[in-house]
Amino acid sequence: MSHLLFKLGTQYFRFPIGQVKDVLPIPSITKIPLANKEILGVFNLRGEIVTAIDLATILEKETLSPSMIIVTEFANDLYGLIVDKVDCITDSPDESITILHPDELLSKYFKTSAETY
Amino acid sequence: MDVLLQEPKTIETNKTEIIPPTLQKTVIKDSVRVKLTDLDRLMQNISDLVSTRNQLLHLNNNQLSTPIKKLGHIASDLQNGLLKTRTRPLSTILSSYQKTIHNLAQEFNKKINLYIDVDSAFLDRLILEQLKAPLSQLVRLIIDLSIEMPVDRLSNDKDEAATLLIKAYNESNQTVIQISDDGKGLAETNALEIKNSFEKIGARLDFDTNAINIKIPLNLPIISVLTVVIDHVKYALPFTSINSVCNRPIELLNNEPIIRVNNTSIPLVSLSSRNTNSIIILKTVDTIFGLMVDEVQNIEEIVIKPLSRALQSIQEYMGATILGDDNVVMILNPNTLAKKVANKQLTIKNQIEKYKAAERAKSSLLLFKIDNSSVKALPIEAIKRLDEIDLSKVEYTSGQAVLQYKDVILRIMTFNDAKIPKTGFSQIIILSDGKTGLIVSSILDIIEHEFDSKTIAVTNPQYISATVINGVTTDIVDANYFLTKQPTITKTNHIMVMDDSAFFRRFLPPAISAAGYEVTTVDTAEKAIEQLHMNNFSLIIADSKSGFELVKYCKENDQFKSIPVVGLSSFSLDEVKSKLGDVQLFDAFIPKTHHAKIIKTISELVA
Repeated sequence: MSHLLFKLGTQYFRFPIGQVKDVLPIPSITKIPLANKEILGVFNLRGEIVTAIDLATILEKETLSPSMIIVTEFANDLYGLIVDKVDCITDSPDESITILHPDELLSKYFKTSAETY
Repeated sequence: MDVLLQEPKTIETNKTEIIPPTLQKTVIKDSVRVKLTDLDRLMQNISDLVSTRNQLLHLNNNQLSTPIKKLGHIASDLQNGLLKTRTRPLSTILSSYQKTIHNLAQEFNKKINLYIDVDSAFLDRLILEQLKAPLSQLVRLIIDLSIEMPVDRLSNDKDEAATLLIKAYNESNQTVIQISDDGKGLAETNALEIKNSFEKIGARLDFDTNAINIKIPLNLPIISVLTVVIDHVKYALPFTSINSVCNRPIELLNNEPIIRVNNTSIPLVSLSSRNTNSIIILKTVDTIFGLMVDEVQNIEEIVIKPLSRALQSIQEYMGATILGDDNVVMILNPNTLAKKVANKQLTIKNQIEKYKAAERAKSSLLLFKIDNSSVKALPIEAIKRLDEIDLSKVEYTSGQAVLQYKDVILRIMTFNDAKIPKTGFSQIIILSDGKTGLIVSSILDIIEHEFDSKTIAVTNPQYISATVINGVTTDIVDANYFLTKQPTITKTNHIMVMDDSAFFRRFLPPAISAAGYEVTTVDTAEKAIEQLHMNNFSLIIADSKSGFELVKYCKENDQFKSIPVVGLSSFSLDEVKSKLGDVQLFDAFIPKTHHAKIIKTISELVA
């Protein structure tokens, strides 16, 4: 199966390509005061509103120079995950690179954030 | 609920429209069946149309502006037309309620007066159908659990017959049905099942004391908004909630920011850490409040987009939208913002409420008079000291009467902004801040008073309310009004113009009053001196020849010495000196026809 390779901080990760809707440079993001710190804001992707999420905060990692957004769909909503660098799409990725599933990440995130409310 | 009980007649009972049989026939003939999904798609098309129109608006081409405006009108006509095909008045499902409630009341052996006020609410046909069952279950539950038996009501000092009110109205993007009663209330835990059945059809149930609000989202994606900027972030506010936009100084009342509009204190909400003077006054069903913003931008017609799950928990936003410039803005929810002031508003009506709550703890009131008429009262806690002052020692600075009192500067205030007499002694009440003195004519007594519910609302902002003390109607003074009141500068700067020439008496005053001063004109020095004793002048303008007697009188009299006197002349000061000798008495000379110079000199000397 194809994977999208990307870099967050000093570490590489990969997403199954089926869960990636779009990849784009970070656009102009509207900040949302009062939102959780993981939520960086919202932006317009061809007429759809996408919620930008700081992937590094969810994964408790450090970012170096965030530049790209990977858009994924979860529960009928679009989310943009911010990463440092998008590397390539590969059919035979290095098995040592951690696989992340955006839907799992988000459902876990909603679970934990729901507890805090 | 008390209010409701006093005036049940003001609430219109539900009227069922009777359609003549002939008309009914035609209605049936002319209608067609349409799939709801088709209507939904049409609605989505209209939303897209509006979005595209907004993009066109941003192209800023003059030739396009008229057709684009037309396009906007067509889009909103389309939306309204389409909505009409889907909605029906809520009253259609409540038309049989009088009978239903009557039957239920008999079933439970209770007495109930029902009032229905839902004429302005329209709902989607489908939702209306689905609403029928849970709504009647809810009403049944209220009658069963909240409304007491007539005997119990009587022993609790309530009317034998309970009041049940069903009220409904449309808010910007939702319809609210409010069911309230004067029974003992329905606990949320007793209505969980019903709550679920409401949630199934997309409605939300909010429990308030003796009122249950059913909130049904409207299928209305296009609304008008006003865009504002707060702390560098742009937001949209639903236009239907906006009462007005104003710009005025913020005052503090009980440490909460407020503004005063037409003698009403309006509490303020801020989304940023600093206060700003641009205020949008927002009105929700039960609250009116101001939102501080940095900048007010445009009115735009927008399409509401729902928020993602990650953002839905933030109640402050009711959705988001994409503006014509392709940027996303959040739409603020006025109803949630109103909750931020709900408590504050209580504190504004506080003093009396506090006393009501602590009924058994009597409060001490100082009774006094401000003239020969009615009695006023001030809670003892608002007072620091009572004293007598020498009125001739009162000075004025920037329109504010002040007095050097012990080691502080006391602001001297009067009721109704009455003029402070220049001589004699007066009683004053020094308020709790130790810096504000209220002039009163006589102190009567200090009494213990128990506030009951029989207070009378008053419109004068100087008073919280009126109450009856020892058989006399007494105004309860709002100490905060005086503590936070700003001086009214224009009123106190009163200028006298004295000139024997009728031409100049008419020539000068318009320019001076246009600059914000009050002007009195006289033609002789005698009349001017007479005026001096009657009014409080900040400055005198006098003809240098005919006014010489006046300036001499002023400067030789301790009481008027400090009032600056400006000489009007066609000569320069040096020329006047050589011609008139002792002219140092004048504080300044200005040419008679030089308006700008006159205003400048006045403002310098008055300041």
